Amino acid sequence: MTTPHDGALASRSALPPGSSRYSPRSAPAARLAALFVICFILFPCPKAHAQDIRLGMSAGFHGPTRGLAVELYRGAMAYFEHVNATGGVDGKKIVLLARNDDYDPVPAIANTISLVEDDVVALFSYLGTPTVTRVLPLLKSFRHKDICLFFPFTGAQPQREPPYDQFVFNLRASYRAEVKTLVDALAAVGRTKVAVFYQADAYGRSGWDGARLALAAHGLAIVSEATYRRGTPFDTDMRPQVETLRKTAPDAVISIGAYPACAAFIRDARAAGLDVPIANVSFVGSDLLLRVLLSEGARTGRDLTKNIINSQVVPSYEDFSLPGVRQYRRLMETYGDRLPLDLVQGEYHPFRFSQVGFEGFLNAKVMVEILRRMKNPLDRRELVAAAESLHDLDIGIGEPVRFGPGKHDGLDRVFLTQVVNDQFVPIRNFSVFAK
Amino acid sequence: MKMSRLFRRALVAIVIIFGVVANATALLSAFILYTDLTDEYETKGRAIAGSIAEASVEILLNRDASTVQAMIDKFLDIEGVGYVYVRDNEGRIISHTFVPGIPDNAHLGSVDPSEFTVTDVTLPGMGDYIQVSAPILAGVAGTVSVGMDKNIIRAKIRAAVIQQELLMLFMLIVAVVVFFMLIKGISRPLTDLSEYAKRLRAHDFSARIAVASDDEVGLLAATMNSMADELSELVSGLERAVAASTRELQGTLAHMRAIMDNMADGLLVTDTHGRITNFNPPLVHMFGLEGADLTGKDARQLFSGAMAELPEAARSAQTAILTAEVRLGGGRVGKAAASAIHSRHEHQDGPAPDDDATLLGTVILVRDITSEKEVDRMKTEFISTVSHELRTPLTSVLGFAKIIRKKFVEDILPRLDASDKKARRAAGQIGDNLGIIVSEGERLTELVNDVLDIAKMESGKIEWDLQPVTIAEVIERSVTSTSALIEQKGLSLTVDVGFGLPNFLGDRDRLIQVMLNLISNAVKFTAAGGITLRAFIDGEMIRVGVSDTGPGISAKDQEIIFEKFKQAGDTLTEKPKGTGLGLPICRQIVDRHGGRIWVESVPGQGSVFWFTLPIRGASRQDASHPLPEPTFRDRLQPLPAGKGQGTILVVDDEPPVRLFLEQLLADEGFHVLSASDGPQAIAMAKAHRPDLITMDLMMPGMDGAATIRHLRADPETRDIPVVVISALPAREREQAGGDASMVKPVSEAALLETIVSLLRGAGKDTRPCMVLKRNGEESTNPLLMICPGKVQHTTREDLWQRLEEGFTGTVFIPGSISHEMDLTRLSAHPNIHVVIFAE
Repeated sequence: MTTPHDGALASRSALPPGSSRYSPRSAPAARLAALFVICFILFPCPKAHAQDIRLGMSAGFHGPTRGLAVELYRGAMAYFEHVNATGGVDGKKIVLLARNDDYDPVPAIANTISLVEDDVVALFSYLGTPTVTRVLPLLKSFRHKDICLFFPFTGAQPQREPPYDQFVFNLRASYRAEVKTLVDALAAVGRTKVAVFYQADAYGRSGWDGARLALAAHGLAIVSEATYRRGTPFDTDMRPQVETLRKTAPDAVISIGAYPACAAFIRDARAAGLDVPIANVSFVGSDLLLRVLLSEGARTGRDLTKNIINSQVVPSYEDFSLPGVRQYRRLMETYGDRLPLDLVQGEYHPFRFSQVGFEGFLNAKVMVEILRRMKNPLDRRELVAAAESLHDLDIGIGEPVRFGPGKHDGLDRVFLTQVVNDQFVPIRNFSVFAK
Repeated sequence: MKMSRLFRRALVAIVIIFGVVANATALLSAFILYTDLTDEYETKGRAIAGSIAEASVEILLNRDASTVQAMIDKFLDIEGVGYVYVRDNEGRIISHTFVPGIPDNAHLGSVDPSEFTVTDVTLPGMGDYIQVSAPILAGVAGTVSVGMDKNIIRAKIRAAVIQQELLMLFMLIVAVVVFFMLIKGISRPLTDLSEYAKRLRAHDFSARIAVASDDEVGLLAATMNSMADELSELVSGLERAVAASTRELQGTLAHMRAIMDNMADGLLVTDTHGRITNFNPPLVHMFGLEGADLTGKDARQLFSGAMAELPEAARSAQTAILTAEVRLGGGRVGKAAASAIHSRHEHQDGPAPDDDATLLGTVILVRDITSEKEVDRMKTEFISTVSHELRTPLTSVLGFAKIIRKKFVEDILPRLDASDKKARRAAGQIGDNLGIIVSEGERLTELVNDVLDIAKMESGKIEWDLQPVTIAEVIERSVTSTSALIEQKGLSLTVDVGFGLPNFLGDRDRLIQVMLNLISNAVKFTAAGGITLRAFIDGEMIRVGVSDTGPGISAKDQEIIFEKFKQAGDTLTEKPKGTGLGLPICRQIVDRHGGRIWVESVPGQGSVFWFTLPIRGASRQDASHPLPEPTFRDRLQPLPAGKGQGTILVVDDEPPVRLFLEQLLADEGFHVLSASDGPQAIAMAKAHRPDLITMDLMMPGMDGAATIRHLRADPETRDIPVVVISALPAREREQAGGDASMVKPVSEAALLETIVSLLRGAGKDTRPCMVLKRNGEESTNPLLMICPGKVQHTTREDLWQRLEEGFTGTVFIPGSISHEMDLTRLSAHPNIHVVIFAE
């Protein structure tokens, strides 16, 4: 989805030198470049083909997850470019084949089949719960081809449970973990009447299920719930949902959705006087959400960033104490201009840094480490063993990545953040949200 | 172009039919679609619910709501699926697709976890759904419910109906277009034809119609074209003829106008309402109406008096021409003749009866007769004055001439010496000359009287004494007065008066004057032969004729004899035999009675003078209204003088009896006629007017009683006394209707006594009249009618003798000879009245 706020925030973003506003329609040269890339992707040169390590990515580069997909791609590509620039893996360049699936399961499946036919080494950084959930059976059917999905950008439960957990490696913590962290924190400060606002699909259901289980652990239940349809844009009226929840006077709302809908919900909830903390999960894309909220807040004169809690599965990119953060920022300055040119439609204003981008960067970093541990990075059969050999990998975020046989979830740490000075910062003291 | 009426009607029909069909089919398909879709959706819902239920067993057991959600999301994309939700074995909804939230549990309905259930649910804010619920693992793991959206069914039906209606609309348009083309193909030529016919009706023959099709319409168009050609020729011919006759008519009208305008008489034409439609300048001038616009004015308002009444009167009078004197401007007098104008329609079978004549108005001609009137008046006055002035000296001249003659005869002549032949011859010449003087003087007096008479009549100074009279009476009286004259000249007189002639309104004395004039004329001009009087009914008139066997009157003279002072024959060479005023006076009298007088004559064979009198004023007499039967006693008829004492008609079928009666009565000095039967008796009674009739009763054929009835019915004979002489019993004799009856064998003395008493009016106190004859002529003066009984005409000698014998009664002496009578001696006689009357 193209949000009008992208443009409004462009001036706020500190764009690196060399990266410029990009519009595919701006110049014939850009079009030629785009054609070249398409040619490169669809008809790779046979000479390079044998040498490149190809990874397949399917994400919603259009629609509601456009910002997430682009930033995830940019973060990953910054590291891959860096690796490629420094000799590659075993002398081979890493090529990320990115496909758009509109955040829709059906194209996602088609993309997956297509990528497998293109002989990718692995599927990488798929985005979205509904898409990933539906791709999982396909992975099972491709079992004999040893196709694995690495680090999908989703915290849903199916890929973490049998029978699909054997084909998937997750780096980020699950939604259950995120929601459990949020519920536990809220319950700790006395906010026990928790309502759930969620996307009416597997992603939302996953968060909802997490909230249900977490609350059940405290002997509580969801006081009320409201849904919205996937793909709902920001200008949609969310007052019915707000009204549904408000009737039960919740202490807090856990919001599991995409950033346009969540921003719309926050807007209407605040407008309706529902001022309780609204907690979002990592998938929302906190930077995108913040951009919209700031824009809308400026327009309406209301501070929409107040009482917003976001759970993150990676540390804040503002935490300069972490070497991973420093490396990310450094590499983004160098390679941040890598855009999936053919996939981005319309005007897009990239972020200088973002949580999503940082997650993509970390995904790439772990992926490269796995590839490096393979004798032949082009042989998929070595992938699972190489990944499971990562028992205690330091990727510079203060938390080791631990994989192993039967253990495909790399990280389980959840970071809670709030907006301070128009930026998400880690919550040092949760008691400010006390009832 | 105007929409064809045909097309309009067809269009309405098409639209209605299509409308009905479209709606009917739409309703049918909507119903079918609804049934089918409902069934299909239910089936679909069952399939989906079943498949979810099958697939989610394991997942539910794993309690992974997210996976269930991913699965049910797939089904949400299936068309018609409104929502899907899954309950776990505790009935909690663990996955659903509701946005923005789960509706109240009440709306979703309870689900029997053990079997498939299909329920209709209505979710607030969402709509109607067919909810199909399927048990998962026979309900142990939970249930799955699929809501099939009824709104989609409705939308589909709506779409289908709209599509169908659109299709029908399209077909309707196509049908209308096709129909329009077809109708246009038929109706436009028809419209053209009717337009063309309208133009023909408006006499526009220049138009042509261009319909070239070879169908009936084309044929009609061709026929109409040729018809128009013929009409055009016909009409132009007619127009030429009309123009020609219009010119002719205008010429004629101008001609007529010129004639009318240049007439000396005034002309006025009015319509049936009396409004003036036409007139000429003389009329305007006559009435002094110069400058006024007469046309269209009502004659009654414009004129006064007779002129104002004439139009109306002429209309009422139908065909008669009415005349009237009208007062003109400037004190002048005009004569107006008015008649109604009728238009007569020509009929195939002869002229139209008057009923069919249409009254168009009246036309009045006015002639200025002021000068004529003046001349006439002056002439009459002149004559009147002259006559009066003439009479005075004439009376003296004539009187003295008579005295001189008397003295000469009585005193001088006897004293003449009889031997003196010369003296005696001179005396004879003197006597003769005196006679001539007296007779010429008398003629002159007569002439003056006549002139005065006619002058009075013409100047209207005579008063007419109109009373009911009968023509028989008039003729009888005339005959009585002139019979002596006729006999003197040895002429026969035949009177033939029609049976049952009615009485009428007339001046009896004047009519007798007419008759006397005509009879004396006839006597005057007839040397030998007879005179016949006739009277009968001729239409509305009584027609009376006096015919003679004289020399006749030439055709030229016939025209002038009714004019004053004109006589037939050469008045210069022939001695005039009258005043020449008799016939003009007759004409005046007859005209005054509204009749006409004329003559029919063949020179050498005699003449017939006819006059007619209108039967009016008095009612026509018929059998139901018989005149009161006059008795002989009221007869004013004087006994005829001369032979015997009267004429007696003897009627008897037996010759001996007849002979006896004839002998008896003849010996008594009566003039006796005889008849042997009824019809002969009636004929003779009418012809000879006997003074008395003796009537036998028992006669072959018409018996006595019937004969009497006939006689009584006839005005001419009903006054004749009838003595019945019969052998029948007294009762029958008296019922026969006679005045008296005698039984056979009749006594001579009694018969004579009866006859005489009947003739003399015995038994009634009468005062007989004696009339002195003048120059041996019996007077016919009407004054004599005052005599109740018989009238005796006597000579002077007889008069004195009768007076000496003791006559009592009235003595009439004509004024012209009164001076010859010793009136002192006359008046010395007792019991007599002396009446001196003017002639």
